[in-house]
Amino acid sequence: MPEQQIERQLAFVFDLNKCLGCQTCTISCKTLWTDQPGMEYMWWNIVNTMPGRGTPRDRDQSGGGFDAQGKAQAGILPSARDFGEAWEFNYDEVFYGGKGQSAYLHPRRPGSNGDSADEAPDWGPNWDEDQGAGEYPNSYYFYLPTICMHCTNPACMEACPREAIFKRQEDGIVLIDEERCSGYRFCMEACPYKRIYFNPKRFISQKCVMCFARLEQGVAPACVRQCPGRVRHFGYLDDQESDVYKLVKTWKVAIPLHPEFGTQPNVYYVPPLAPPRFDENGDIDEENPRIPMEYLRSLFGPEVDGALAVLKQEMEKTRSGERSELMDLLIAYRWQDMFTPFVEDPGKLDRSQVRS
Amino acid sequence: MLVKRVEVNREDLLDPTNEAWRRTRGSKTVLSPIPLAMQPAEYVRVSWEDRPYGVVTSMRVTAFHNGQEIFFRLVWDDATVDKQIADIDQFVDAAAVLFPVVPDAPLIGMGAEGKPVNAWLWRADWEQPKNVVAEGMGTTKRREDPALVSKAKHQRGRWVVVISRSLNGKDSPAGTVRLEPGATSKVAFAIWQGSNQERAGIKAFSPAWQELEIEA
Repeated sequence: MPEQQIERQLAFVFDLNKCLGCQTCTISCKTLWTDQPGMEYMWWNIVNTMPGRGTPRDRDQSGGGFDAQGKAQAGILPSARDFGEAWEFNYDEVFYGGKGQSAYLHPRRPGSNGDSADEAPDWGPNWDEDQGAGEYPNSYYFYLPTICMHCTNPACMEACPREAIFKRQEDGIVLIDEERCSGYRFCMEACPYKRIYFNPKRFISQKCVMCFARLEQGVAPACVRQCPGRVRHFGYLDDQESDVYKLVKTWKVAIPLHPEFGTQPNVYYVPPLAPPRFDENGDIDEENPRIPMEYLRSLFGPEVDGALAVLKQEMEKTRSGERSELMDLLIAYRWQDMFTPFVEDPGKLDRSQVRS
Repeated sequence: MLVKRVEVNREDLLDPTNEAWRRTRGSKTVLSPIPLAMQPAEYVRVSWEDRPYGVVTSMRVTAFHNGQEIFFRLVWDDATVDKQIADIDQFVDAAAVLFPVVPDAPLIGMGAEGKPVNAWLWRADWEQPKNVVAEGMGTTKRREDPALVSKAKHQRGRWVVVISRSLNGKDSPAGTVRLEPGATSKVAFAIWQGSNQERAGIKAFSPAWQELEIEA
């Protein structure tokens, strides 16, 4: 499918060296967009511990996207159990049932009464939180936030036989037209990042909308604005003054996740640095990074080597007392520079425009 | 296919097991999968390349009218009942009766620009069928139609579905098919097997229009 020519592209840069895994982004999105019936299990934004199986379960092995020749690839359709169902809890029993001293609060699968073992959840969003990989003292993990990548070549858009998915000319946001969507879910299969959910109450597919209604009032997306760790840079990819331009184009330290999927995602990641390994004598082994490079290449492709080299070189500069423009950018001294020009105060939003 | 005129009331004809339907076995309609080459998205073609679909290979159809309404009774073998979405990777059983809105509307490709087709779409999880108009694949517009009704029953390993509408369609949305006693039209059918994740163009259909003769 030929790439659609658009005028401008909005993009994100997530700095994985700063992500705390606090899920404030996740909750800011949830409360703003996915609190309606049929959306209980949806997390348009999710932060996963990596190495890990992801959300939905085994996300990186779900297929979809395009091969090297640009041909669409088959993908799997996850179940709600794979994404992680919206659990219910035995509140009645614990809080009102007179068993406050004997029963403990526990989750159960939706619609069940929690009596039998298979009604206990065996999976959930970010189920393998903080497990990571490696053996002590060389264990490691990092956090990976994901949202719809608003791809330049969206596999979801190609897959929809109803042409219900479109990419906006003026900013490259990928949206699902809820009037045209028939709930066929080919898009969910085709998205290699598995960021599309199905709403069984409304029989339509739904996903991150880049808070377009906020953008139209000059306010950054909720996940960007609310991030306490100053992880998320946001702006136009062709705006040479924007952080995203500097990090992606100038410094080349922000790179796409799974470039081999062929969709040209517009969420870029500053890859994670890690302390060196300890060798068998307990000495520091400067030659070998704690996070295996092979693993990082499997996520971010071959460009990850160069990105990490630039980061190390600039960190070295600051250690020797020099100034690094890159480090200043990543530290984000001036918070609102991270998402210029979308710096309007969300407190002044006309909410009727943000939510229907 | 003859739409026989019967003096039976609407309630009885809407009942898929009513004795009015027992007088005939209906005519066998052979179904085949919509060819992959006709699927509008590359993704759909690639992902169903090695996967059987359109797995319901035949159905029996009986059509009656009572002067006011027309009734199609569709019967097909289906060992699995898929009438609700218990999880999001599930699909439901569905069937459609398709008509040309203008005489030369093509069946292959679901109509064409300026040559619409009209489908009455029954789905196992819907209270009421929907009225669908299309001018080519992927262009379907679904509308509520108060004149469209259906009743369905799954028994002894088969679906029995009656879909009915007023003959003249005067309460139906604009652009839908008009029928009348003594007239002829054309008709085609489609079945989606929910347990096989069939939806959209992944279905079994009767690959040619059948003449539809409405008894005067």
